[in-house]
Amino acid sequence: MSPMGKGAKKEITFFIILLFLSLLLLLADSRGWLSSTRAFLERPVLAVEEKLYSLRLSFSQLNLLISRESQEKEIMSLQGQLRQLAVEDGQLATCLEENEAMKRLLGAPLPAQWKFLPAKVIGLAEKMRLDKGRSDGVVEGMMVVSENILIGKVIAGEEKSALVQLLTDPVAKIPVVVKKVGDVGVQARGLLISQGGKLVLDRVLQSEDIREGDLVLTAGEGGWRPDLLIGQLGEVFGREAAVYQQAQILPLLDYQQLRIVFVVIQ
Amino acid sequence: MKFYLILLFTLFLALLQGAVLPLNLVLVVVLIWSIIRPAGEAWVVAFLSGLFLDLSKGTPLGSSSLILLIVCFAWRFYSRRFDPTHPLFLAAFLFLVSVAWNLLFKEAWLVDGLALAALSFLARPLVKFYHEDLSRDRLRLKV
Repeated sequence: MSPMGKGAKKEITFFIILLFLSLLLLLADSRGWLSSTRAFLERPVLAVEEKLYSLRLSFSQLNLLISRESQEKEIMSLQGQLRQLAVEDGQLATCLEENEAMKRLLGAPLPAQWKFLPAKVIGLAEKMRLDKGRSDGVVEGMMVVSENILIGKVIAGEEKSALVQLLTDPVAKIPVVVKKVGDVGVQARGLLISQGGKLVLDRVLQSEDIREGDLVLTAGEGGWRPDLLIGQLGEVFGREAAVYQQAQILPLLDYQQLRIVFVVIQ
Repeated sequence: MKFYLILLFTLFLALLQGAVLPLNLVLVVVLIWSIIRPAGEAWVVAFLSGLFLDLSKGTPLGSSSLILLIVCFAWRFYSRRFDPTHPLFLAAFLFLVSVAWNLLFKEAWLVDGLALAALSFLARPLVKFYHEDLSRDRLRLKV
């Protein structure tokens, strides 16, 4: 037998010994004969594995922390975008509202030479406060309308805001005319006053014929522009003994609902 | 590389496999070692590495040793017929063994097999270098 052959035989013998040893170990372990030996050997192995596993866990937690941070950043940026969108949405809604009001104003039968300035209502109590002032060309005495319905008159103009005297103001006394719906001529003349927050048509002669449903418009006297709609007549209080007759005026607008109005600047 | 160093290395890899690593890197190291070192040494490394693997993974003691010994034997047998440093030979062999191994131990087999094959393909220059070194030594011994 050659030396190489001898070597190969030796190698195979060694291989077979190890193979049998493996089989023997497998058999002994499966029968539980090596349980105490295995427990002894496994103790350091398990300790190291535990360390390795906790190391991996801490790495994954670190990764989680990093990803959490980036997620938080993303959430913050998205919230910022959301706020921006809400602001833009609000602006868009205001623009739409303005646009609608403009459309209504264009359809209103008002003189073509009049110029309007849209203004936002920023306060409403006894008087109305608008977001346009002297810097926008708003001065005292200007009419404030919505479509062709009169809302009031500017009585004080600040730099960036203006105060509007409403028709319900007890101080306001407006010369008005009464017209029948669909008629061109004036039916009666009178004075609009406010009693307890309600509009009343006063100083109408007993001889003049006014009825419920008639329209009340500005007469164009006392610093008020003409033919601006104020309201419709409600109940008429005609006392034969009195010189004048009175009537309730039903307003065509609810001031509480107004957001955009127009100042007649010219 | 010293004999005990490779055992320490396979012990480390076995611990890693038991704790965190899904890839059977011990198999790769044992196969590469059996190309570049004499058979007797390869059997011992395969046997002991198998024991490390069993201890760390909690499999029956001797089962991995048995598989590694058989795989090494088959590997050395085929290495006489084919070039063990061929880029595809080791990769294909590793893939097949890994698949068989994982099916035996009911582990995810395909991805691991492919990963090991790719790894062995990348380790080929190292294998070739050591294999040629060994061949030169044998030739010198023969002369």
